[in-house]
Amino acid sequence: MKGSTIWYLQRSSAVINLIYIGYVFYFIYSSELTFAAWNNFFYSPIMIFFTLCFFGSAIIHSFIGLWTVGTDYLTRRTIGFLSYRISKYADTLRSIYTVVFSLFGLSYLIVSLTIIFNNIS
Amino acid sequence: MELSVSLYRYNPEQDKFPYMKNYKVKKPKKDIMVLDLLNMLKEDDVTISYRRSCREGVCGSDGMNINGKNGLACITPLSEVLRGNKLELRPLPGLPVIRDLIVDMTQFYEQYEKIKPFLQSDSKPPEQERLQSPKDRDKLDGLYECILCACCSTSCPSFWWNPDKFVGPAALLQAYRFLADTRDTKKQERLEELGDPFSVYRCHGIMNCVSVCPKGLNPNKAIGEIKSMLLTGTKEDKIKVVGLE
Ligand code: SF4
Ligand code: SF4
Ligand code: FES
Repeated sequence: MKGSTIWYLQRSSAVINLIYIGYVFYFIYSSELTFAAWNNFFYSPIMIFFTLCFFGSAIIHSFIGLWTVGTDYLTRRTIGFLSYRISKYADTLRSIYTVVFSLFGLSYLIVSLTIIFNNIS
Repeated sequence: MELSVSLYRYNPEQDKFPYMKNYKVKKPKKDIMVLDLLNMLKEDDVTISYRRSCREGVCGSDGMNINGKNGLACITPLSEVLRGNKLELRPLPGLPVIRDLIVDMTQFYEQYEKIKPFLQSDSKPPEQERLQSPKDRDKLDGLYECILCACCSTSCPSFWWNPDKFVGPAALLQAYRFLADTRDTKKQERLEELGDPFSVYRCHGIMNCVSVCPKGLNPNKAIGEIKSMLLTGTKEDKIKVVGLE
């Protein structure tokens, strides 16, 4: 992937998340919060669409961020600054780290889709 | 009054590990440069090794870490860096040490080579020289003055972590020097070379490069210009003057 594409993805996902969170907070504080009101709000088609966008961009945003952290700090060179012995396993460590946060992302996606679509039907 | 100087010492033929060696010197009456102090120490201990040549901030060979901050020893006055009469001198961080304060600059030069630091033009070479209007020439101010001392790149965490993939502030400043040159016709190719996620985009805007440059240049600003060219295209009118300001 090109550096610019990643740059745009990181910024736009941050903006989407910010707008979404702002909107949800606005709703919480601007009206009387009852279960029915929340339910109506959260399961309106437009809100479902926004929530999906939010979860999607949260996953993209954290994936890019964590991948950057991994390729900065979990490399042979960087770990080698601390310990030469451990640095030999840097590539394995980074792979485990990538698998772990990818699994987190995946479970996050499954849970969010379940919350949204289980309650619609 | 005495100065206490702590010097990074390493001779791979004798020492298993690098170590810090302490020296005591009489504090000179007038304010001298760090390089002068090193020369004084070397008179007593000839094994101390460091690079230097011009002794006036032009050749860029005596970049080192002076009390925690990179700089050129020859133009850094003691009065500016002494902390309670203590001075700690170490080699530029992140590069392999050859001996004492001498580092292996290969990685640094490899990145410089990558950005093709020379003018490339499709047009036929003129008989004498490629002319440029004074206004266009002004666009190179704040860029061409770099002396490749490596103080910036070796103070940049992104360069410490990925010196093989991230081009680093010094070479990126030069990359922009040719991107901003109206006589160069290979802008698109240059940008394509820099378009991957590491070469330019690993700059996280930490700004260490700006704070250490002994020539007062601003690599971070040049990197910002390259980023915006990568993000929005290369139109001539987008090329701004970085300048010293
Ligand atoms: S601004 Fe960029 S290039 Fe300069 S020190 Fe920071 S990360 Fe490195
Ligand atoms: S930009 Fe400044 S610090 Fe970096 S290499 Fe050039 S002169 Fe040295
Ligand atoms: S000796 Fe040339 S820059 Fe310091």
